[in-house]
Amino acid sequence: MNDLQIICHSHKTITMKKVIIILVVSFCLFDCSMAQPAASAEEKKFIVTMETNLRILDTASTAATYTMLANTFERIGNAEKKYWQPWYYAALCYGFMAMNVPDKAMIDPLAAKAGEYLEKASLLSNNNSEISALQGMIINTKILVDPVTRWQTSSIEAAAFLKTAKEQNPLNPRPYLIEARTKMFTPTAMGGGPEAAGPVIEKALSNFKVFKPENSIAPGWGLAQTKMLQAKINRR
Amino acid sequence: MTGKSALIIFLLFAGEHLHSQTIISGLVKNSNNEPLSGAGISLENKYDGTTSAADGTFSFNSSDTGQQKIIITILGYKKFAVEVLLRSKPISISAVLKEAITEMDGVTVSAGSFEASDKKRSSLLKPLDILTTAGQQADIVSALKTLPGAQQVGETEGLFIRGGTGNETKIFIDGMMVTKPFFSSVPDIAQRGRFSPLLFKGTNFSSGGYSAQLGQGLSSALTLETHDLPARSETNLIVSSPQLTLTRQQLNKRKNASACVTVNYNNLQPYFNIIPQRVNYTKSPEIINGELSGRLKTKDGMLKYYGYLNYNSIGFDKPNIEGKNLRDYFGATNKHVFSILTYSGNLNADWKLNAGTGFSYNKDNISMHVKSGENELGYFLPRITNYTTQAKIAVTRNLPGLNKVLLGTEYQQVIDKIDAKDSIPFIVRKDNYAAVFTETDLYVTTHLVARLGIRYEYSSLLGQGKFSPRISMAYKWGGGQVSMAFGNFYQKPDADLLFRTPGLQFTKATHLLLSYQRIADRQTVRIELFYKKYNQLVTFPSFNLFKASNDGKGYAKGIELFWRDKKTFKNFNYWIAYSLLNTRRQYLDYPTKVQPSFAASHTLNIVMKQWMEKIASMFSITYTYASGRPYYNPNLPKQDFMKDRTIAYHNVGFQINYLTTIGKANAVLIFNTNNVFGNNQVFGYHFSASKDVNGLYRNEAIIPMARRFYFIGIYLSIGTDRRKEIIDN
Repeated sequence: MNDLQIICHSHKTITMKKVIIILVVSFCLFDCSMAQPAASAEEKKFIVTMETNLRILDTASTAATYTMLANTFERIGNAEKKYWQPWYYAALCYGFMAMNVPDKAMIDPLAAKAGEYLEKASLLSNNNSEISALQGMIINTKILVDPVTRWQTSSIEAAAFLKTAKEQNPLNPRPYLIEARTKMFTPTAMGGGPEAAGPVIEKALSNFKVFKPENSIAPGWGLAQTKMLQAKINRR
Repeated sequence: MTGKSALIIFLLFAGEHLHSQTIISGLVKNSNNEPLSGAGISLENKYDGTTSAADGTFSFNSSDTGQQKIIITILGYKKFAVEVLLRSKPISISAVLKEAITEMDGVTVSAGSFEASDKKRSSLLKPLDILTTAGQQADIVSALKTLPGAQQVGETEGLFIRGGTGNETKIFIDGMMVTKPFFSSVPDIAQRGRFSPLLFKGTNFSSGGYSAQLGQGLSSALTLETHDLPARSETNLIVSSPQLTLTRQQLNKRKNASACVTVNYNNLQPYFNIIPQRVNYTKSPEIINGELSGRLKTKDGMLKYYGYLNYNSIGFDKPNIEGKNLRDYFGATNKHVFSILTYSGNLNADWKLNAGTGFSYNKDNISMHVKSGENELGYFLPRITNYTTQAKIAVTRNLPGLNKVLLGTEYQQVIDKIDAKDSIPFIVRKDNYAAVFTETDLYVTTHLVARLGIRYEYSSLLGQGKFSPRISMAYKWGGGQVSMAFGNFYQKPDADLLFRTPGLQFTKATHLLLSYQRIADRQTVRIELFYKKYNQLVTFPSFNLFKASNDGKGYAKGIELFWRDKKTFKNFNYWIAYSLLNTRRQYLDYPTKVQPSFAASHTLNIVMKQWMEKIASMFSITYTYASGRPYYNPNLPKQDFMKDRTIAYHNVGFQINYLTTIGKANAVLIFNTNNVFGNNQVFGYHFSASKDVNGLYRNEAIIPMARRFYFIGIYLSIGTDRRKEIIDN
């Protein structure tokens, strides 16, 4: 539980009340999972810690929070060894940081770190739609460093990952969200623009309506971003 | 759930912690004593841990006990680990993290060299800078001419570096020497490089003081590294004003092997029909070539093959300088084969092997005629052949840190043949050239690296062997680094001189360089001072090539500045390169030591690139200035040899790269032109052999074949997604 305390110290937006609520909720899950005979105490600790941090991830927006979360997920990954999710989320944190970093020169090192984490995730879970989608997102982010140099080959490479992600799980909304975002910020001449992004974002939205994460720690992010992007596209 | 039960949970956890709680706190700093925020602190293989705050401090509790390991990590730094004993007593840790010296951003051997690479942060250029620099028509060497040290020689191909001739620059592909990197010389028209910039992932251009691994270049070495395995299978098509190129790249399912076939056809006839040229082409330049390459990734390394096959021809005529209605006819055909097989890989954790073999063949059939109407007045029909077989092997032993020692050897068998109907009997020169070299990279501290090397090379044709020491050092100083390099460099005299005088010796240059470079936050500044001394250059009396000797000598010194800025303006980057050169040499038929005809005292390049996201286009403008170059005016008294200067050279190039999609293919449309403002460009003068009626030798300016060269082209890239097949299997 040290994780939680530290997170609370450094993340001032979380009040004591919220902590209690989190704890209460965790306790409920703790309780529920107790009913399943297979769930060991370690597994419960893993799930509770993951859920706690995923809640923080839901509202995270600063590099400091993402770094902190990535460090936490890395610790969980190292301690548990068998779950792909901690590595996936560590990669996702670095992926978000790479996407938002103001200094373009930092994109490559951040994306490389995301790639390292994702490599570990894919060793623990192959044929995973979420991992393929994130791979596509990271390659797309790297294009921003130098579009003239990288676009011609990297955009096709990223599209291939997104295509795979869709094939691996046709209901996964995230490959569509990633594709739509890339399309939105790609000039019309290069096959992008709001018109190209529009149908893709609709598909992402319709997937969100039917998509159910496998469990409480499976990736489920993106609905808010999808709605924001949809609003942006419709405004054009 | 009530507040009460929450309280119970709290107490439960708190109770657990009451048993044994160790508080671990501390501070994370770097070696400059600056706090590091965002560092991950963890107990090895435990959940316990935290992240350092903005001031570098951290604190967390652990209920674990006994011997544990604390690990601290942060991007860009080496992992920090310390053993601690947890027994409820607070632990305080002061961690100083060392910057990870990776090849990406550590101190590097940089004196004299410019690198274009996607991988290394220390590189000053990106590979695609070569494709997107205005006025250069995607030619590697032309793009490098915008860097400091290079001369703007427009009448002869090659890189003329720091008072050196074009032949003094040696080009290597994957470590193997390229015998004929350019299309064969044509009088007064600089030829392009044979190899497309798209072949290479890395370019290292050294204008002096380079590694003992490289030999036979007095001035400069350009090392090109071919791509590794492609990310996917793809088809590329290039359609441009002079060119049609189709490339098919195939990656296997296991993604460990690839093969690539390229067919290329160039013909300038359609272009010349629209844009008139100064000479009358009887056979427009035509190139047919094919390329084959393969990659095989083994467990510990990579095997690469590259093969190139070419046939090209050209023919033109123009008025003879002596007048009298005479015309000069020039014709040439060239056949060329270049083939290399290289392996690079680890033998085990400590040893690395680099090995390669290569073969090349070149045949030039040249015809030169002087005619008056249909009457033939004279001709020269040389046939020149070169066979080069080479092998090279080097082993590197990795030592702790980035230290390493390298030991290698290479062998070349070079056979040159010439004969010309009625004028030159059949001559063959065969040379067995062998070299051994050793080099060590020593990181004395994380701030000081020294590369010490020595090379011994022997040529059977010259009957001579030479030792050359090479030293290069770099010291990280403030935010930048100071570098120096010193070395001796030997080169065999050019084949055309050896045909006439076989008893010649190695020519020699000694380099001394001192430079300061700072790469920070997308801005690069570099200042380099150099001094170069030439000895044993080949010289001969006027019109007597058969009496050549190694009595020539010379020097070159100067200062070069380079500034690149990608930061100040959004989506706009530019670089400025300035070179000041002071050089004198006595070589060939120069009677005294003078500034040679290929050397300008001042050269300036300003390269600007603006990316316009809205219209997906990159605009590039290059301005090049070179002060007037010396030329020999026979109308002046003898003591004024090479005293005349051409007018200064001005060139403004312009390029647009437009990124778009055509069907499923990604496409780049390129438009490029040089000399936008139509400045007069004079590279030198020819003078007639006989005096005219006024008692003067008639002159003729050496100028480009057309005022401008336009290039319009489209690069298409069509990918094949094999991932589905992989999944299905």
